Amino acid sequence: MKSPLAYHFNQVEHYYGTNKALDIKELAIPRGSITGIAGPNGSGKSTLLKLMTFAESPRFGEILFNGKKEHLFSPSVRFEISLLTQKPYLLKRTVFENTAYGLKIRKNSKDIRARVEEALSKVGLPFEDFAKRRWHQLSGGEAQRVALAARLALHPQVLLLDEPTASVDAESAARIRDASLAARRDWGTTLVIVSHDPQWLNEISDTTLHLFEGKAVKPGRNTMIPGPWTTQPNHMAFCDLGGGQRFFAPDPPARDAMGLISAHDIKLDPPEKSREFTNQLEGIVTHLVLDPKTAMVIASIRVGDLMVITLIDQQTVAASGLYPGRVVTLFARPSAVTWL
Amino acid sequence: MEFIISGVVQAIFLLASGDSSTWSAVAVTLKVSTCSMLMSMAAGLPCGFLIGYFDFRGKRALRTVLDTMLALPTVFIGLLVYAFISNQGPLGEFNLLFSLGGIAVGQTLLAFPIVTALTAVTIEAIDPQLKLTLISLGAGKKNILATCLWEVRFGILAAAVTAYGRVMTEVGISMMVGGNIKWHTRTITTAIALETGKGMFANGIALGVVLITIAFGVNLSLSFLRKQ
Repeated sequence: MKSPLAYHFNQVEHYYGTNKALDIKELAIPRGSITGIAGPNGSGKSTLLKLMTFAESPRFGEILFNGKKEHLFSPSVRFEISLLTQKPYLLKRTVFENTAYGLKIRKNSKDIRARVEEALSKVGLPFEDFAKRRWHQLSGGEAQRVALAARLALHPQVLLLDEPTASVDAESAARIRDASLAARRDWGTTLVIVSHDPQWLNEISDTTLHLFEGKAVKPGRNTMIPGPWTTQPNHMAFCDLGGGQRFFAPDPPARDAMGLISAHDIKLDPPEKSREFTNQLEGIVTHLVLDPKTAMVIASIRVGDLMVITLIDQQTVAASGLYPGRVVTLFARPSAVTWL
Repeated sequence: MEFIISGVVQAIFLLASGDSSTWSAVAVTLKVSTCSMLMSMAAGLPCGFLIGYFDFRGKRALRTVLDTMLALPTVFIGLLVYAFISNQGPLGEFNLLFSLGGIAVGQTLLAFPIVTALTAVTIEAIDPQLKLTLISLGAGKKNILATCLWEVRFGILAAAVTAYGRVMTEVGISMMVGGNIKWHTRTITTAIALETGKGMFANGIALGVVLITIAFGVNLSLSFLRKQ
């Protein structure tokens, strides 16, 4: 029987020299799921993806793929896992040859043309116009789409995407997003997506894993609050969010500590009969999306320079007439902040 | 100035009329340089790949030695080869002195560090993303090796062309090891040196034109291949 988990990380630690790059006690990624990975630069996101491709092995702990210990060149790893890096490398060949490279390695010569045509059309590149183009005749966005097409042509069991839309134009970004989601819909592909776009991650992922300094925070809908924190005599510290707004939290372990608050702890209503000081923040709703699993609406609200995520039930959304662009007041208890 | 112009005119006549001594030097040059290039490529490409691809103890020292060898004077190589293949030398029994084989050995020693060093540099410059990309597309170890070499083919070609240019234009080895024997070991460069010394500018210019034409042809081919 196949394992219900695509990946299972157990006590995994990875180092570059003496620097600990990743420390994940446990992580389970179900097959066919979409997992978003968020975190600041240098938090270990790309390292995590490299470990998932088995291109690097962790110094400690084990990573199971489909319930088994695997290694880099085992057939199930070679032929089932594919990674799209942030700056993809295109072979110095035509678009067709780039897209067909993996199929040729699999000696899948029967329907190469059809598979390439299908993959290119999924990323919005007409076969007739692009197949014969050479690698240097493509824009940055087109190159990224060709790189994705090369992976989609393989119908991979797992597709790892490292900032796939970070440096491309709006059209390419939309095509890449649609094509990635189609992979899960059409072939049940497990998607693991690293992105700095929390809105997109919240919109498409079943769960989001937050990384900070190599450590994984409990998966879920969270908002990360970066420092610096200014400590006050009453053990309460504040962080400037921009626009004259401050977020208060108790006892940060360091000036540059990263705070984390769950979407469940950010409310649109003031807490009842609470003596505890409450953060009161004004923000603009930028995005509303329904989470089909929980039937809750995920609201992205910009407070100063910070994008805050909160969960609101559908009735409240309808009753309060929430829409993107509307100014709302948010309430959050300082004690709800945990430190990473 | 007049003698230069008259030399150029005579050179055109010599080449057009198929002057046998001129074309003999051209044929010897092509033969011996092709032979030395094949040998230096056969040895230098794998060595360059190993040095460029793998990290090992003493790599830096090896690179320093290789880089130093890039500047080896041809007369020194000529002297070294002469010492080894002369009758008193350890390789005297092979009768390579004053033969095309002897020149080829010397030119191989000249080209080997160039091919090796430039191949190593080319391999080192491979985008680190390439290996990860190939792995993520399902490439095995052999696929990775073959694709990496194919991806840097222009760099390797450039290394070969650079070495070929050095081999074609050297005088020291051909003169010392080959002896500049007419119809036998006289190359374009030794012939130019000799003819100029004799005041026969026309022959020298004619051979110079051939040398430049060959160099131009090689670079043109490389440029054509790049476009493919």
